[in-house]
Amino acid sequence: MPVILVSSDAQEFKVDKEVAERSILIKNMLEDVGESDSPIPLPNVTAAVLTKVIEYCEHHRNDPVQVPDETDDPRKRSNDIEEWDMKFMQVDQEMLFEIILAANYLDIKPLLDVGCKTVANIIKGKTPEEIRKAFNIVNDFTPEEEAQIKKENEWAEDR
Amino acid sequence: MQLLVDSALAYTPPPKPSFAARSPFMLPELDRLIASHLDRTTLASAARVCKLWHSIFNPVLWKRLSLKHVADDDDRDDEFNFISRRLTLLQQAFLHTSRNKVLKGLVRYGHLVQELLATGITDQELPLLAVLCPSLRVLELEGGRYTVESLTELFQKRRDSIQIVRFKHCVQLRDIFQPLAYLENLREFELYGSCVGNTINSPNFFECELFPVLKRCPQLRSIVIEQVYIIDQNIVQGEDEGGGGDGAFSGNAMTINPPQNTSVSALSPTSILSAQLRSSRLVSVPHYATLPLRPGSSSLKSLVLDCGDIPDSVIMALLKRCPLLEQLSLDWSRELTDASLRSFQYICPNITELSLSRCAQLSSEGFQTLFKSYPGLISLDLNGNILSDLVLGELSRSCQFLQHLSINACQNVTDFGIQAILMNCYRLKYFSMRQVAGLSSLLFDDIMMPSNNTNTLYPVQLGSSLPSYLSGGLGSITEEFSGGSSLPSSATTAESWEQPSGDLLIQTRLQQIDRLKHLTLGGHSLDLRVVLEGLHRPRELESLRITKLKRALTWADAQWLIDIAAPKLKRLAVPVFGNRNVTDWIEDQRPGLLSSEKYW
Repeated sequence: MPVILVSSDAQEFKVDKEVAERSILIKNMLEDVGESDSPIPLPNVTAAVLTKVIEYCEHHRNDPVQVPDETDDPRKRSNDIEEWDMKFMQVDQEMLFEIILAANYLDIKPLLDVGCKTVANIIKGKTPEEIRKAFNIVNDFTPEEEAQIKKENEWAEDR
Repeated sequence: MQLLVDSALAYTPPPKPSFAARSPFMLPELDRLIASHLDRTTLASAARVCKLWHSIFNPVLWKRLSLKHVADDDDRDDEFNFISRRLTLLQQAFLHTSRNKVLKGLVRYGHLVQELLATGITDQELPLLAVLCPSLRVLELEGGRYTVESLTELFQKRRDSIQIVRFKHCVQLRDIFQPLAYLENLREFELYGSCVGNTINSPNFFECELFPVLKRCPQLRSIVIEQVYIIDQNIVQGEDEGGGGDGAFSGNAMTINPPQNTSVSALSPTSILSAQLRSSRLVSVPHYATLPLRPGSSSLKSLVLDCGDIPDSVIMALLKRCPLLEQLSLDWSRELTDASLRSFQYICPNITELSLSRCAQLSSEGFQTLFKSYPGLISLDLNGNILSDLVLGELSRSCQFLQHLSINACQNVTDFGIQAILMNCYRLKYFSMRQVAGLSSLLFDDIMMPSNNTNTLYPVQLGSSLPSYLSGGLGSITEEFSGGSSLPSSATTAESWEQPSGDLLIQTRLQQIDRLKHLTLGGHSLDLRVVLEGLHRPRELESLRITKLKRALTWADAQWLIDIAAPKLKRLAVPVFGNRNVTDWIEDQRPGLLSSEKYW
């Protein structure tokens, strides 16, 4: 049975229940409401973003449910992103952050992970100046302050 | 990852100023998620971007501090003109003259540090850490020399926060166990490759050092004492250190950070705990076995001890203090006897993971009694023991929940024993049997036991007439059953166990084998086709590694393997003995199949 999702700009999307339930938020909603064909409003997600999110859920509809990883060990975390996901995430930065926010709101853990990894990969290996450029950030440190922080954190840069 | 942004597309923050003011990535939980994917170097860069980013990423960076002795390039450093009320004047003076920049940084950020991995920091610096890092939870010290006084000061001050302590390759940890007893919240303790002076060698080691720690640290869940070196004056220099079976260890002696002082000379007559306790026999110390059994005396759940020549009685005394043990490893024990094995079940009834590799004194009878008393065993390592098929038969009947079994380099094991395991231990996920002589490909030929044998799960004619194929030479097989095999519900399997119906068991077994995903096989007397046919051509097979076969892989074999037997194969490793044609053909048919050797 298809489910109807309504974006913040009032566009309707018809998707399979299986696809919609990739979102834990929607899954819980459906469980609470029971059998009903009334549309589900998603006031925090625009049509453009919802299109992308549904595309992701369609592609991953058959993925096994992720087992929550208890290990918080950063050394064990991998930043590998599947090829399809990588292509999927090749969008402009505004859309990237919108997708992350939507994944967070809709509670789609794998998408949220991929989004955060993508952002992490943008930051990775860059100098502070390059990061500022990438994210359009103004440096509000005085040169002395920055030098001080560099000195304090030098241990982390030594290999 | 290519850069997604050019200046035209540069990210303009969404019109949500309330978020944007506090968090670089809109929501604090997203900041944390993103930070968790960053390595140290990147975190350090990110912390320098702007004040907002500094407030987010600097604490993440300092949470796991990796402290090395970094010398300052500048001669004198006036920027670190700080006064801290927490430090004594003497300590401040010490810090001022210290050339360790990181240590100075701790004055500011020490409160953020939860995990400290310190390499080569000095003994004098330990008390400073105690003051500067109030939230210290994990302490890992590598390659230093630490005195009881400094450790005591550190542990006393941080007695409630420290939960995990690891010493790696440290020298001169004399009396290490006394300060340790201050840590009332200690959960894990590891002593690896370190020199501990004479302490551990003392006849009273367990009674005077280790037991008090067990008693005073009720949270302690795991102790690892491995490859610990002792300095023993009794040994004549130049004596064979490891001796016999310890050859594998001697290489590790090199990993010790050589101490910078006089103890270099003292190092040569040292050896590993496991190898060395022999020189100072503990047996003379009486009456360990008669110590009163005190239930609940320690909540220790995991114990790994490279036993060597620790006498049986001492091991048993230690175990009696740890009635809640779930994981026990007593590898290389030369003294452990069958009698002790029999009393295990009364002392530590909760054991589910057991490792008894290379315990030379244990006999078949001992093992069989052990298996009978631990029907709930999940993981078992018996590498390098003399096991008979009878032992494996008993194991397969008694321990039906077994998931992990390793019998590498065991003697006297033949196809019968392996078959019994494969047929009866239907939960087995990992089964390793490298260098087991006496296996052949008939093992797989016969894997479907004739169903007229239904009431005998284990072939009775064992030993009476050894099958001829044994003479075919030595073979070895490694198998890994891994995969998402959804096992039948425990109800069904339990039932089938009560009434051993061969058919049902075989079905269960085949169901699992059908889903076999990874297989490694090798042996002089193995035939690829026989093996795979015997396994009913596991159609789910994704990776296959062949190390040795009776005959080289022919073109017809390859074709059959790829097209018919294992169509889902993604990785294949075969030995190349001049048969380029076959490998070229495989490469043509399925590009990439062979080139993935690095994944193994």
